[in-house]
Amino acid sequence: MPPAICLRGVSKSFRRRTERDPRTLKSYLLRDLWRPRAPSGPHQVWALQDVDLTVEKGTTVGIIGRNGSGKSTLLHIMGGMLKPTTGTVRVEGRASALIELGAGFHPELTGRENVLVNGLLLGLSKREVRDRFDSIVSFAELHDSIDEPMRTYSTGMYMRLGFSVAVHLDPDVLLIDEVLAVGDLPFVEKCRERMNEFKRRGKTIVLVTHDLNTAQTWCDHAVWIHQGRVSAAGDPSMVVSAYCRGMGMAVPMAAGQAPQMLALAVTPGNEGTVWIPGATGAAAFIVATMNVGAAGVLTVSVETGAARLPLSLTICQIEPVTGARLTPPAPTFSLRVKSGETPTLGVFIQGWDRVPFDPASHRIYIHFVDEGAVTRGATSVGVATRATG
Amino acid sequence: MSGFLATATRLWNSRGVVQILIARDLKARYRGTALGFLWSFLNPLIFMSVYLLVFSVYLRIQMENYAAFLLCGLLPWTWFASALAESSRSIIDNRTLVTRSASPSEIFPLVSIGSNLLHFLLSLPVLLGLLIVFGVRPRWTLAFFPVVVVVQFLFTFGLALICASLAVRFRDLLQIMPTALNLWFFITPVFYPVTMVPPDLRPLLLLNPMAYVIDAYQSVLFYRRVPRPFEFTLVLVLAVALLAAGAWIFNARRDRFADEL
Repeated sequence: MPPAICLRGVSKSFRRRTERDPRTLKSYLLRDLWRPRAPSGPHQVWALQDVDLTVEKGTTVGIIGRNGSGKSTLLHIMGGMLKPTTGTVRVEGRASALIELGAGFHPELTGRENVLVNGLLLGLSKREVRDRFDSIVSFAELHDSIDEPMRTYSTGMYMRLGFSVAVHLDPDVLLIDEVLAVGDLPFVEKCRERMNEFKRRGKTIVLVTHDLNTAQTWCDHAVWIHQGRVSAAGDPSMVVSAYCRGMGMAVPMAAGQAPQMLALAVTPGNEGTVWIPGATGAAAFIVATMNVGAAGVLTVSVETGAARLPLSLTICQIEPVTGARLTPPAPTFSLRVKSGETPTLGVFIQGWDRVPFDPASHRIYIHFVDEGAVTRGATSVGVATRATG
Repeated sequence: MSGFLATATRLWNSRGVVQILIARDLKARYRGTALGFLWSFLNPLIFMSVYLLVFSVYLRIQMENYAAFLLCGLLPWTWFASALAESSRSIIDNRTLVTRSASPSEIFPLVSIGSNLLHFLLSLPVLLGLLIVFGVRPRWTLAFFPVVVVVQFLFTFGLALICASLAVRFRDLLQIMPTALNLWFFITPVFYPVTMVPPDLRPLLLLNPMAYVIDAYQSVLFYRRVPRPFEFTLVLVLAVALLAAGAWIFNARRDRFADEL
């Protein structure tokens, strides 16, 4: 079976438009029209370089990376909205992109007219649009306003209709650019449900996301794009921790995941951080075992993103037992460790479910500040974590 | 040539979308206006009245039935000018659709021309009615009318493909467009007959295909005779050549639209 998406040696460059680059008609007629411009030079910016990527049919792939790393460009290329400068792209079947939702809608036309126009432009036949119309409208929850001009719609309504049309194209490949943040909570839930249905039906999904938790729990594979190149690809947990380590950032760990050693590199005199996304159950118990390679101060802190903390939080050192601490509203627990010690910390949290839902800010940080600025080479802290939902 | 045929085939396959988009254009344009479609006829009529005042009353052009003559040239010119202005912007205006549409991008300039053509055709009954009122009864030469429309269409489409694709990169084109169309209007025999151009200068008119397109309208509608055979055939050839050139340029630039939009 051929893969759903196959990219070979894909590079994409953009011309940087500068003041010193007068794009005059004359110079164009004299030079560029007759021979293609060499894709190099000081004004050339490479958004992607030599990307080889294969997405198997029926898999869900998460693309992570920093802003401006080329994730969206990659998605645009997969969707055929951008042509690669070099390399080849092959997509099996129809791809539908959930990018710039509702961008093709005309504000003066009614929702009904726009659905028809958009559906046709995106490749449906008139009949197909008619057959799916009711489903599109009911998914977007726009029964009452479908015959109103779209300029009267709210941003959320716009997005919902755009999303609804896109998923009703019945694509073989769905390309998503962080649009799950569209609309209110019930609609987000509905979108997720729809995505899950896509997965169940064996469709291929490529998702650009900044939510590392989503990348880990929801995707079969992850790809880390860094400065236009594939830095890591494969198992989501592996790619996510590679990404975090590469960024000198915290390494997240999803709740309910099996205990895992997370290596945390600490450069001498510097700080390293591990973060663990909060568990979403009523209680969470996280055990962290640290192998400290150097003397320093180990700090565990909890962030919830909420102004007040309706949490019952216990952070304690289990082994060797030194006692417990309970310190909201800014719960932190610090511990001075000597080189070679292996302290185990337990973090017991109750009441996650009472905190306003915001997975991005539910984090437990484990920092390690290495005091031995004189130590040669890097010190590392290994953290084994178990979270129970 | 094969590229030209491929373009034509893809456009033909997208005719359903083109239809819907033209309908969208028409609906969107007049939604919320009181007079609606009538505007497409009222605007040239207002123009006609002003020209009539200036040229017939102030400048005292001696010409029988000047109002009817004006109208015969003004309506097709309005089609041409608005179609070219709109289609030049069409790729930029539809940027989000251009990159994701399953249909070829040529449909966007085509839609601009088509919707303006529809306005033109819809105002025809009014034009013919007024001609009869002015005492210019249509004759069999009216049969040439569709031919002239087709030639103008080919010419406009070719030019539109060039302007629309170049405007993506050279936005200045859109700034020049209104001025250029205004000047073009004056050098085209719309409010004066070709015969008023001094014979020595008349070969220059061949450089302006619109001159003989408009002249052909005046011939079949106002003078009620066949279009000038030599000039009109030349315009037809030019229109086809321009369309081929337009399709070629558009094709060459197509892949860069996404980067430049």
